[in-house]
Amino acid sequence: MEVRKSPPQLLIEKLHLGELDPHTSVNTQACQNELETLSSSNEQIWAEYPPDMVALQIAQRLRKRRLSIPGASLLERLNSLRSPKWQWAAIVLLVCAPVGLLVLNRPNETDRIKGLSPFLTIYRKVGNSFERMSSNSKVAEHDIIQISYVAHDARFGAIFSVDGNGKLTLHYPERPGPAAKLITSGEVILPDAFELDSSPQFERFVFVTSPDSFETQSLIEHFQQGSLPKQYMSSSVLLKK
Amino acid sequence: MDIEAHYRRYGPMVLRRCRALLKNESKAAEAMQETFVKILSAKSLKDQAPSSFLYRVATNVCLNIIRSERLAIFQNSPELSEIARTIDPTSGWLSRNIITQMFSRQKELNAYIAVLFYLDEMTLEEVSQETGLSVSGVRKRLKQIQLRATRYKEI
Repeated sequence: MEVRKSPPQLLIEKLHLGELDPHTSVNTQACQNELETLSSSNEQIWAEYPPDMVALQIAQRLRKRRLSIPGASLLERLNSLRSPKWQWAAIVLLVCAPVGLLVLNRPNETDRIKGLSPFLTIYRKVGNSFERMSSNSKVAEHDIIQISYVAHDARFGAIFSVDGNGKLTLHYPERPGPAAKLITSGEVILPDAFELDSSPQFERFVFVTSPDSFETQSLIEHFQQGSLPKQYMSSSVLLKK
Repeated sequence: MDIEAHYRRYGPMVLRRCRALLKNESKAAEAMQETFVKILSAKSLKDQAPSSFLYRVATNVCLNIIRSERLAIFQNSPELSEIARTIDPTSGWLSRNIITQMFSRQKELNAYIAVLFYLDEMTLEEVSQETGLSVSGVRKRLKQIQLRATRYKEI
């Protein structure tokens, strides 16, 4: 009979968590290397997938899942998140559900100054956090990018990017159709970060806003023709590769 | 439930499990989140030894991905190929139909037993302890899986 070199992974994981059944016999001395490997693996995973960010993403998925279950009441959905912190997060998420956005900043009067132009901000993930990218910053394939916007008083908008191959990608709203109704208080972070692909030379991110609703398709056509009608305002960030 | 605290404690274990089964980092990260979502959706994170429960749910989330995306992960094991081909272990998770839930749970348990035995190389006794079935119960289910795998190979 073949002799195993070490216990099954599940038993080592349980031993590491202190949840091994007392009746299970495992030679802890023989597992010492594996236990140390798990500890350093944990550190790497927390750095790569930060707990606060992952928890937020899980809460968002949970919200979408619960909203898709017929008969699930708002109270029932909120009650599933017992921590007050996540209840508050869920309330914010549910309020934002129609546009699928998460508002990180609470409404702030200083964010409501009239006459300021809407703008977008690009962040790049660096280790455990995101760094703000100024225009003309260098990026590379596989960089993780997060987009946010500040709408000020603009009511409708769309965010798209154009890469060095001329390919245009719509980021917000997620699908072509009516422009997104913008949230006018504070910085709004789009729900999903994404990874840059191998397209060459540059990525230009464009935020177009308007006081009136518009179709993303007509916006894209105007953009490709090189002329935006007067009612649109635009701001962009160019990232070089 | 404090999602962040649970992720901090169990997330790495779940991600390692998903990585081992899916052999793909982005799919593993996706499966890890899905595991927590399923548990929170079902409001069923058990108080005693949640590691067992999370490991089991993670395993079945991965099997579902392998099945639905037809990933060629288990080519060397006819039994696991059969499991990956036929079972949708998560289909009954959110069902309110008790029969669907029961049927799904049975299939899910068989799938989990097969993975523990054939892939993780746990002994019958260890599988028995992990699943709460008797050793003979585990053996019986494994024989059924072997039989189905043999039939599938013959078709």
